[in-house]
Amino acid sequence: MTERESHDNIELRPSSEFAARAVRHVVAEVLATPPPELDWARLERRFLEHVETERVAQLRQPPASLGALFGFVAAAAAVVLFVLGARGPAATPAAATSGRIVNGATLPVVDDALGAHAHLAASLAPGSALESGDTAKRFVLPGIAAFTLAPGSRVVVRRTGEPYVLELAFGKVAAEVVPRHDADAIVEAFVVESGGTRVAVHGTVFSVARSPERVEVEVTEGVVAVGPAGYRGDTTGNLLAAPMRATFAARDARLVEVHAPPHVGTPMTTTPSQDPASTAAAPSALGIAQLAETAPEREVHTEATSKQAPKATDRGTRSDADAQPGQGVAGADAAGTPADRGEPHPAGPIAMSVADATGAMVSCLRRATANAAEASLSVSVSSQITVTLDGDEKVATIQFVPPLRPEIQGQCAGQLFGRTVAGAGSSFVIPFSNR
Amino acid sequence: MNTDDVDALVESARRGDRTAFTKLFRAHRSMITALVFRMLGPTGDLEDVVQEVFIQIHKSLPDFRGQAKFTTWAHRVAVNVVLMHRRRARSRPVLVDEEAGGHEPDAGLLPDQDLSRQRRIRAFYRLLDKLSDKKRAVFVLHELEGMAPADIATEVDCPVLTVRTRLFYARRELAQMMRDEPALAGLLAELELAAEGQEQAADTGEPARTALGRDGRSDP
Repeated sequence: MTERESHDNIELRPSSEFAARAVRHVVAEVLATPPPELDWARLERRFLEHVETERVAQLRQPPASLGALFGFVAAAAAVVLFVLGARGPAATPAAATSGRIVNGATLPVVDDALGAHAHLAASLAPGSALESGDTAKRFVLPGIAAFTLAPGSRVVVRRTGEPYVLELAFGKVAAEVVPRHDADAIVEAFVVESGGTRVAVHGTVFSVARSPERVEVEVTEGVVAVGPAGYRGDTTGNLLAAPMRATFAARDARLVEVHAPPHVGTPMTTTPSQDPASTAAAPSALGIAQLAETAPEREVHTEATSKQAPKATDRGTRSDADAQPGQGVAGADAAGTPADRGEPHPAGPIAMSVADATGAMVSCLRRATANAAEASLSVSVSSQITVTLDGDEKVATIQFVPPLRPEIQGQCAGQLFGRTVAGAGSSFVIPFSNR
Repeated sequence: MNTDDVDALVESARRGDRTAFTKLFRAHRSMITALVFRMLGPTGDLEDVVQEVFIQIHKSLPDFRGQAKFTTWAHRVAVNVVLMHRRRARSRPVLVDEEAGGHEPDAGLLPDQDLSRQRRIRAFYRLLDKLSDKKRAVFVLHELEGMAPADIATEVDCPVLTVRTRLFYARRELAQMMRDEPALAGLLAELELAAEGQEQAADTGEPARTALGRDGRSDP
């Protein structure tokens, strides 16, 4: 113990017990104090007036075209969305006068972080809709994200604050999200939700294409988790690592097919400070034409997706290292194979056994979740990893239940993606615990 | 109102039945108000924030898929609205009398104990305001709402271990800050005196006299 620590302890020790008692005493007083009685009649009247105003405004909107939507979370970096397929009657310019739909023309124009002209969307309230009309429109939320609506696209603001939530009704939106972290947790600053499927983005560039019954996810950089929507903050489901394209059922995010790796056009980085021209070009480079040009698809049906909602107890076992921000991910060993070092594997057809794959995953996770020698708090981590294989016995998807920190999942899953695992059938399970 | 009744009302409200939502409003308004009051403390914003909660519940009702009880879901909506309200409030100019909720009780009418208690509560919420939003949220939800860490983790979207860590640091910071608040430093002094009195009584065999006995609340 240093002299300073000793001094602090001497100063606090006699009074800390009384201070804790004083806190409990005041807490008891707070609990014993009832809230003031509100004017319920006035509150109810004001509330119902507000609801009626919203209802009238909504009646002036054009009818919604798509029932089911597609969801994902962008925790950092760039997000590219394609929503194709069925849409209803085109929105008329008159919709812009409803007060709930803004075509961008009435919002102030600023220069965003990339130097592009963008409409300032920070003042929009929940319920506001943005529609691009015949030309693409760019919007900026300072400190949060910038996003571009392709022509004929529409989003609705569902929630302001943190996270900022957009609902993609139809069309396409490309977004660059400002990465945010704090000492306590990874911050989800920007969310796009839609229907029964949810994609969680972790420093990733990816695209989503939608048909009435299916959602196609294409990952060109990083790792994406695809799972059921409705579970805020969770990243359960299937992990896809670039380059990878897979199809999911739109209703419940069940994995349907795994395709050949897509052809990647103009590469996109995951940092916001990117040339706006290349950012704008990349979405179209990953558009309909490229999806149609990929290799013939193979039918691979798996049951990898978990439909069970993560329970509070799942979070209890997800005792990862978030409470210890200083604990970095280990693994820059110079010796050993790239898999040992946690690096992406070199492309190659060399097959692994299940034991090899298990050993590689467990080793990586152990290094990534090791407690620092001087840590006063020991963190235990447990998870069950389900690996599914395609028809060629190549690793197609990897699911962590409960989920671990995204960077750990990405790093350790990345070394298996695309590798051939012989003799495992369609899937195998790797239990992990660092206890 | 039992769960089946609530579920039926929720389903009707999702279809736009205003009467159903009004019934939901009346059934849950006390719970929501109590939660908002404990999270915000004595403030003049209570009615506005409660209204904001129900507006948000109404808007988000189409997204409610029944994966949790309606009450649990509404509770979560309320927590998020309060957190957003506090973030917005930080960007507003601070009013000099805002901490009193715009109303200072007449010291001539209230008994001393009630006045002291109200001052302590206001002082306590001033200390809570000095905590980070994340620590404040878990402290309020655990200590004032009685939620278990696992439930708090679900509510605020973070691991249970993070909740426990934030709780630990929140308690420690509050204890350290108490001496700087006159109304609470007095309470601290009373507790220390009471402890001294008990020690002396133990030494002499005489009954201890505690300063906190007047309001019938014994020191734990």
